[in-house]
Amino acid sequence: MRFGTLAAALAATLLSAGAAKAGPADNSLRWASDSEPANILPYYNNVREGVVLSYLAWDAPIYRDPASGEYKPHLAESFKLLDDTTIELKMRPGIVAHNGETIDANDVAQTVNAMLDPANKVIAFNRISWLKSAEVVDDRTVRLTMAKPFGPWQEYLTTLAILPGDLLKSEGVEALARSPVGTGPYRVAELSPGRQIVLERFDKYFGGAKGQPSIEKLVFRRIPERNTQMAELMTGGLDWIWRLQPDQARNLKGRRGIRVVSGETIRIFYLGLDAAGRTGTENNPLTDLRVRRAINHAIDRPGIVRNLVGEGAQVLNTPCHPEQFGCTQDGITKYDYDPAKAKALLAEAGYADGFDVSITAYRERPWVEAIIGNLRAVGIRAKLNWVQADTFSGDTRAGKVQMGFGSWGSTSLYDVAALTTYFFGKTPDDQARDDTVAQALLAGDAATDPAKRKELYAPAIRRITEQAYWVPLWTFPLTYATNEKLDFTPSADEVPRFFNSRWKQ
Amino acid sequence: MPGSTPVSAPGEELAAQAALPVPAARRRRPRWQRNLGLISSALVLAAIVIAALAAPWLAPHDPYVQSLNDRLLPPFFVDAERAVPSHPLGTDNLGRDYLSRLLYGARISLLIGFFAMVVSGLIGTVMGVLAGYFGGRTDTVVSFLVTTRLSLPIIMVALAVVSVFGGSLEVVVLVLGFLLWDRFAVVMRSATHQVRGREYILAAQAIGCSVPRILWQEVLPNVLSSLVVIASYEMAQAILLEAALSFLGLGVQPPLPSWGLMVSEAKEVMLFEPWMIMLPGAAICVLVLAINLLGDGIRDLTVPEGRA
Amino acid sequence: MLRFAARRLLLALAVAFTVSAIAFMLLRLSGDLATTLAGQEARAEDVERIRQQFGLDQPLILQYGDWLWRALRGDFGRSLFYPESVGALIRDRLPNTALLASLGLLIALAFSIPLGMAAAFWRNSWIDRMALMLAVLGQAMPNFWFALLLVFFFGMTLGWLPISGTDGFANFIMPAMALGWYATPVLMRLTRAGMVDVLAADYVRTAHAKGLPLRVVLIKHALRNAVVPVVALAAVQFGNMLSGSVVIETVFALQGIGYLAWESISRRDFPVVQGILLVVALFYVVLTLLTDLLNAWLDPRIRSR
Repeated sequence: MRFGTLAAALAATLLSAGAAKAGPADNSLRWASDSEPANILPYYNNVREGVVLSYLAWDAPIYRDPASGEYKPHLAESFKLLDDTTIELKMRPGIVAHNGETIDANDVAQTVNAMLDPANKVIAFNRISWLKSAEVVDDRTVRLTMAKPFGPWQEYLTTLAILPGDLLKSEGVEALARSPVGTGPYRVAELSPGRQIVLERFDKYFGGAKGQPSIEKLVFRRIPERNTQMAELMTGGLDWIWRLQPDQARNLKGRRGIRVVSGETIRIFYLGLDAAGRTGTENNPLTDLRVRRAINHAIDRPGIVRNLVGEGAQVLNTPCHPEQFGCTQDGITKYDYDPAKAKALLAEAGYADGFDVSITAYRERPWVEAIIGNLRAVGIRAKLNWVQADTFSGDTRAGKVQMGFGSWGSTSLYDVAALTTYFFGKTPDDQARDDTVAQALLAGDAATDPAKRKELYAPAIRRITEQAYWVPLWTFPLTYATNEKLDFTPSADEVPRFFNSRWKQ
Repeated sequence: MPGSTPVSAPGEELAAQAALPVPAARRRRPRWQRNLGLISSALVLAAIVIAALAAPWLAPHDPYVQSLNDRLLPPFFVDAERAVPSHPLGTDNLGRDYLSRLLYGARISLLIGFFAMVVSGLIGTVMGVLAGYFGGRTDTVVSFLVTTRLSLPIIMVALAVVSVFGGSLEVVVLVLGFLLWDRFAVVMRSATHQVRGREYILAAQAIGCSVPRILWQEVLPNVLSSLVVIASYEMAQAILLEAALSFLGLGVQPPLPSWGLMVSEAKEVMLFEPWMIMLPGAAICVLVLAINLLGDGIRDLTVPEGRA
Repeated sequence: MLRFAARRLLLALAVAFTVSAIAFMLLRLSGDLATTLAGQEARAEDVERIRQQFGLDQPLILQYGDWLWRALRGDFGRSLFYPESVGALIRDRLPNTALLASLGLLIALAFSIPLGMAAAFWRNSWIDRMALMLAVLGQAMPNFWFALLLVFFFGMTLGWLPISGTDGFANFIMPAMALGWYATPVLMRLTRAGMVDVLAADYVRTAHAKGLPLRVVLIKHALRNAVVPVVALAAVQFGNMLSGSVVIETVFALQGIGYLAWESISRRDFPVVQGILLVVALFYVVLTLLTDLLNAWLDPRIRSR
């Protein structure tokens, strides 16, 4: 008898050894994602989860309010442009890092100069590459010099995470990566690579534009398998997951204790066409405007959006997200779903029997298959070339891709410069190679007056749609599933702001 | 790969030997019972092959035709109300008829299994027989090759090959063929080794037969039973491995209706639409079981009494 | 015997060298490391910058030679993604996979030995057939499906076991079941075969004739002798599980070598992949050596070759 109870108790202990503690009960939030940053420091990873963590544990001089879209002072009390390439920041007094170190203008300069130093081998270079140097004026004032006049400077300034300068100098980036210290609303309490990352509320947080967090502890785990994530959510092992497929979202919606919410993101999907003929194929149909327009008409974007992409997605008509600065929606050429018109255009171009083409893709198989099905219906026989993400980039740059099904998140930057210029500014990724477009875009990037920038971007965008260089497909919604007691509001930049979430009583 | 295949050379020798057990009691077993496994598995396999061959006539729809308005319809036995008669086994996430995809998928799974087995069988048998027959340096070289192959992770090879050549059916067959030969080599080596010292071999050598002739006429026929057993096993392995590769995104490419790919695609909605993974998963199970039992049955028939 | 071992060791070195060279080539072939490092949203010039920074623009031979030279001196370098040394990463993850594989093997043995014994003792009866069917069924299912089914039943429906993570011992039970189940048919057949032979052997019949209870006979003689080949094969299956746990670790979010291998291969984190390969190759070689020795001890004919 006694042995029995002992065994039972032992079993209970063993079995509960891994049981998670209740989220709302101890004001903690357990969240999971399918990947995690190998290196947690903001400049040393380029996965979305790293961006999320960088907002939680670090701060930038200014902060973009997700609701209103305005740039608010954060670490800096004030910020202004002195001339075309110089920004002056006046730092807020009394900011303290997680380890107690005072944060002022010196730290800003130290961060910028250290990250620009090639010896530090920064990976997410685009966080810093727009700057050339930083100089301290006094303890509260610092001047940042841009590499060249850069229109979206404010947007990029929001991603300039400031590292504690003294620690950076004494320990170096590698040590800092293993024991990270920042200024953000949460401090890294535990960093067990591959196991979990625990963030705890920082009591001495200055607040600023992010405000004071309500939730005390954030526990992150990487769970690669979506089914496992859902299973954990349904059994109470997790409080928050994201990136659900529409079918999964639909199924979770009815479940007790679970709230499913969709949010827009700035990520878009597009079909790039080899308009400039870089692949060197003979009689390349894609160089013909009529063929490109036919392709635009052939794809049932509204149908795919409605049935496959998910709630919150919208059909895209421009080579940029409508929310991005400079992405005009006026005067653009729209192509509605019209397979008959597509066939007529193809016949006009001399392809009454259709043609064969390859379509390269690396994600979202079902959507690509749907597109292939649509194309087949008008006679275009698209053969799927499924590759890894980096092969996709490499092949596009090498001019090997005829049709490329791709996605772009613009690193959550609300500016056409982060997207359109990238794809149409005579860069290696530019498949269209249109001089007028490229010139206009680059000019828009360099101008600093917002009105002037819009003026310069608009004709470029119109021309891209008129020439059908792309098939802009749709915007990407993100679906989250959470414990229903969690008060969480998704923001459109794919960065869950847990410092604004709370447990409902 | 994933908890599956390869056993290293000497261990497999043991297994190969031990897998040929025939207790004296076997003689007492009624004939019909002994052949039950063989007959039933042969029938099942034949049924699958026929279904595969007759797919164009049996399938109610084209397996590639999408119908976005008819997505994820359940089969009639899951939810009779929502089910549609024209899609008896439901539809997948792009509205393609599941029954048709299952039927055409039989072709792909059988093709992959068979040809992967043939490729790996050719490579492995040649290596194994040569190693078993000549011994010495040849044996060391083959041993080296086998251990090298075992130490190379399958994923890495698959990833590299798929990256360079794309993920077509031919590529998958070749990848599997070049990765699954080790067991053939090991078992054939062991079997050849056992046969090596037999009188007929020595006799053939004595009268001056050329080596190729000896191998072809004397060795091969006598190791054929082992070959058949291992071939059936490897065919099953190839089919399972294709499913695992599809799980990781390295198998055949959509829209091919391979069962492995269907299982992998159904994984996304497994918790809510379990029939989507059950159907192709069960199909793979049945096929693999049939092939394994067939191999067992053939072995039981062909192996003489007592340990070889 | 010593020459035998020495030859095997030489083989080991040759294998390790070849494998590392092939792996290097395959990883380079399978994509562009610079682009993976720079990330999907990097510009072309950033990618080039990283390419130079990490020395990826040098000729392949030089890059490999560089790694080899350092590896020979014991420095396996650092991961290109994690801020850790390769040694530290492997040391951290290996125990999890080892635990998983050991537990898996134990579960496999726990199933296969009794099943094999029963099958041998009541051979050709329905028990024999059932045991075989049960064992083979596990082998015929795609393993990730089996794993997810376990999650569904034991994790969700019954709620007995934790679903993911590496917190406690309980986290390893389901993954070990999924992993071990696969080895059961082979081990079962082997046990059965060994038992059958031994049961028919003279000394067992003598013992039984002398009046010893069957149970004693079974355990003392039959099992003890039947177990030897099983142990040898089990050792090999252990090796398989160690290197083949990718899918299981993915489904259950276990931080082991398998998942590290998959991650690193996908990202072309070359130093880590090479480190893992060496560990695996070493393991196989040691295992091969042990089974060879065992084999030779069992069968003197092989030793003389």
